[in-house]
Amino acid sequence: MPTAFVVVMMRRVSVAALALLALMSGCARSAPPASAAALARLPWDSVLARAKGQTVVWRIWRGDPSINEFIDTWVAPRVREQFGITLQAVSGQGNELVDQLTVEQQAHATTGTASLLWINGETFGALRTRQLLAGPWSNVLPAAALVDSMSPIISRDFEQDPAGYESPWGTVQLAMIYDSARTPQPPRSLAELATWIRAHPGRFTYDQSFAGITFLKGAMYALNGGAATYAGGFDSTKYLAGRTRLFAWLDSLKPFLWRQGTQYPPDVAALHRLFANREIDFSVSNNQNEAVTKAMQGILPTSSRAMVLRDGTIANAHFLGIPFNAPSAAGAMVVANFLLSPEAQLEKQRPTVWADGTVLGLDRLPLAWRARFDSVVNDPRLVPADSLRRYARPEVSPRYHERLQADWRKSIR
Amino acid sequence: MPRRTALPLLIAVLLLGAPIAAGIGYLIVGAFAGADAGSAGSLARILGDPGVHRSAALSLWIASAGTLIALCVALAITLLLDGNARVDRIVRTLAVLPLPVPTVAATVAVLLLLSQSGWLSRVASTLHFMSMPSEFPALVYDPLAIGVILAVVWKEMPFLLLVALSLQSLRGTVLADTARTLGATPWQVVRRVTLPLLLRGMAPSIIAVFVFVLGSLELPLVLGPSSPLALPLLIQERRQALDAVLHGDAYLIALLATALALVAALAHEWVRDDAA
Repeated sequence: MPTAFVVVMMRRVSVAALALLALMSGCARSAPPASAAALARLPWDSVLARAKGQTVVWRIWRGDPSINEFIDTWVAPRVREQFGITLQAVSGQGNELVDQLTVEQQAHATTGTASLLWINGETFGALRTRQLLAGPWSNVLPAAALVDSMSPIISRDFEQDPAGYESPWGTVQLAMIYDSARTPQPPRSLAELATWIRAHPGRFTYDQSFAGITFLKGAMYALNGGAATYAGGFDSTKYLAGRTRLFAWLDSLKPFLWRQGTQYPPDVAALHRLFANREIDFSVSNNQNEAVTKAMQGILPTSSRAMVLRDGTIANAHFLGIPFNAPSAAGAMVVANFLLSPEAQLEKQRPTVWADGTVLGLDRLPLAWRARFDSVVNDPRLVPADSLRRYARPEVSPRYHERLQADWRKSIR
Repeated sequence: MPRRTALPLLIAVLLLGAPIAAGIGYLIVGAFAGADAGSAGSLARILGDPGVHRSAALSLWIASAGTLIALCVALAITLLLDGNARVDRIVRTLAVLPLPVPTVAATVAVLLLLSQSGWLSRVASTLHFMSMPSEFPALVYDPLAIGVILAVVWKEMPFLLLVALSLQSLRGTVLADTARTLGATPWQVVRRVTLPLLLRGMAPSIIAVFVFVLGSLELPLVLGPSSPLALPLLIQERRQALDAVLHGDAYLIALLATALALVAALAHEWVRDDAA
């Protein structure tokens, strides 16, 4: 009878079954496919030739319809037409990826199922530590020369060196969203925000998921001398001191939060809904452009605007990795290279498509392309690109996020 | 064993017993022997964790209150109908309507209706009963999980009602008529004859509703409070936590939740034996 609980936990059984299948298909083939590291030593033309006719299974977060549409209807037909690659985007992210590949590794499945993964931060860290990623390969992609490799946000992934084991794909930066009709003069710093919250009881909150924790982490930076305090790996003493100061600050604001800080919306979608329905006056997004894209979709009011606090907001990049047992590593490399091309990066950044930030250095592009990117980025409803850059703060060791998330949740559960 | 009993038994064991035994076995392995299993002290830690207590209490509250209210409403309708065949058919048709509605859809409907910026709140402010949406009582994301309970009642009451009506029509009015001829008042007939028979027949459905609600993920996910978190959500949160230490906790709490559901099932068996 207690099946509901059992079903939740049995999802891992299916992972094991998948691994078994992978093992069986691996046995059926004569030799394991060429690894990304081996392919990286070949001339690019040779990689292109091997990629032709391959099927690339891409494990990706499938939670956003606009991202799905971009991949299924814009990217997939182009890589088929230009490179003869069949791209299949399937669901899978974070811990699931680590789980599945660990099982495949334990089953000695030399030919896995997925050839491309969408990863960053702690997922990249876990995959690297357990030697589940192939590489180095990303530095040999022809389009890698266009990447803004000087940017601290792109050249590091939560302080980790990608080291050729993942190729950058996009960037996002935390932004606050306000309604210019309701709040013509929004607070511009954390201190001003605290004053505003006290003056407007019940009109501010943040969500329990990734964006909310990132907002809290940004506040922890600001209250403790900036991001530099936490640079250079996890330091338990620094974390505990920072957490104490952050929690004291939160406690002082608690009575003035939505529902007196006793309840928090589960995710950003719920936060957006509260904001759109005028229950609260700010929303938070982990994508600097959502004030425009969600307004276009009718989810947020058209008078929504994005802003960043002067204390800085956290920016990070997301990447593509190739598993150690990718059946189509050549195809995966060609897809990763295509996704770095100016045309794919520009399309991805359009507010009507996904509005994900580019990883390309615009100064490395031909003038015509630079103009096209500028025309997409310069929307008066968004935070200007130079402000975004100026206030961007890097991610620190993923352990800070982990601990803060666990401790904050413990404090409210 | 004669073939006539062996075959049904085999089918029952294969289809019903084995998957659940495998699932519980899997939980035990995950909790005590798996890659993310906790140490020997983790069970004591979980049992002493106030967060787990609060979550278990919330889930039991939602399941008990939701089941009880749904049951009372279903019984009240059944008793009020009192065998009126024409109205009975209409009520049955109406009761079937919510059944195919997916729980998620029902949950979202409750959210749109009852949140502080929902339809009810807007109607109330249009009629000038209040000036701010926040004056509307907090019925979703509320610590008492009123929104969740209302969704449970809307979704489960028709199911219990259909069971009650079928029982009534199958059983007929013979027993009640006999009691009446023997001089029982209408209230005595209800209390001593109709209600006990109905409750006895409905017991498996009542337990099923209770256990289903206890393990339901989507209802508290969309409508429930964040503090405390319903038990299934707490399990999911710990299973997906970045810190692998918490993954073992998830299996342990799932075992705990399974035990709660088993207790409900065993209580039912005990009541049945008692009645027999």
